[in-house]
Amino acid sequence: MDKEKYLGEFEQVILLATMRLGSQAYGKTIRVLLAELLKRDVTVGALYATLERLENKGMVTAKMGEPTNERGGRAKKYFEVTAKGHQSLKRSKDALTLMWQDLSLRLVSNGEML
Amino acid sequence: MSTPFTEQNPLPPKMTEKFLTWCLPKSLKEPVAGDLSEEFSGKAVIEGLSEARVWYFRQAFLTAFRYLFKTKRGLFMFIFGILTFLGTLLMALLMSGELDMFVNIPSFLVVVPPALFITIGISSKQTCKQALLLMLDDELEASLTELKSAKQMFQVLGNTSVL
Repeated sequence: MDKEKYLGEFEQVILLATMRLGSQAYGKTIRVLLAELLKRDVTVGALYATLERLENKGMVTAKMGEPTNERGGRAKKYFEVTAKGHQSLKRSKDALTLMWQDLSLRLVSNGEML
Repeated sequence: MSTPFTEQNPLPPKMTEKFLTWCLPKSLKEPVAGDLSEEFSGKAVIEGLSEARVWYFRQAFLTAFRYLFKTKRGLFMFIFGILTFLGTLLMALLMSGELDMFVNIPSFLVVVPPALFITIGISSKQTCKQALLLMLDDELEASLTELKSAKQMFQVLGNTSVL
C-alpha cells in the first residue's frame, strides 16, 4: 500500500490556481482567481497556511519579489508548483477519475429526480 | 518605506494592520500584509472606503486569530503561569490568616527593589531587557550566549527574591 497521502480538495485547488497563474501566482492573484472561477471567498490566512504546508511538503517553491508602492513598500511572495506537486496532482486526479468511472449521479432539480 | 495616503491609494486601518503583523510569523508579515494592503486599495476605489474597511477588518482578524496562538504561545503561557501563581498564592494567604499579615508595603519594599537592583547589577540593564523580550516573543532569535545570560538573569532574580 502506498503510504503517501492524497492531496486535500483545497490543496488541489490551490495548486491548480498556482499553475494557472504561472509567474504571476502570489497571494492576492490566487485569492482573486478562486473568487472568480469558484465563487469561493478564501481568507488570506487560510490561503497562506495551506501554501506554507504545501511548501513544507515540497510541492511548491516560493520566492520573494520586489517591494512595490501599491503594497505599502512590501514585497510579494511568488509561488511555483514543483515536479513533486505535479506528480501529487496527477495521482489525486487519477484516483478520482478511477472512482468516478461507471458512476452517474442522480441530481435533484425542482424536486424531481433526473 | 510606505506610501502616503491619497484618494487613489488609501491606506488600510493602521491599528488593525499593526495587530495583524504582530500576530503573524516573521516569514509571512510582509507578503500577507502586502496582499491585504494591495487588495484594500483596489476595493476602496471600486467599492468605497467603508466597504473596504469592513472587508479588511474581517480578513485581518480571521488571519490574525489563525496565527495568534502559534506565534504568541510563549506570551500566553507566561500570562497563564503568572495568573496561576498569583491565584495559588492568594488562596494560600487567605487560608492561613488575614491578607494584611503577608501583603504590606514594608514587605514589598524589602523584597522587590533589592531583587531588581541585585539582578541588574549582576547582569546588566541590556541583558535584563533581552531576557524579558525572549520570554515574551517566541520568534526572537538569540545566540547561545544570550540565552545563557537570560537564564542567569532569571536565576538571580528568583534567588534574590526568595532570599
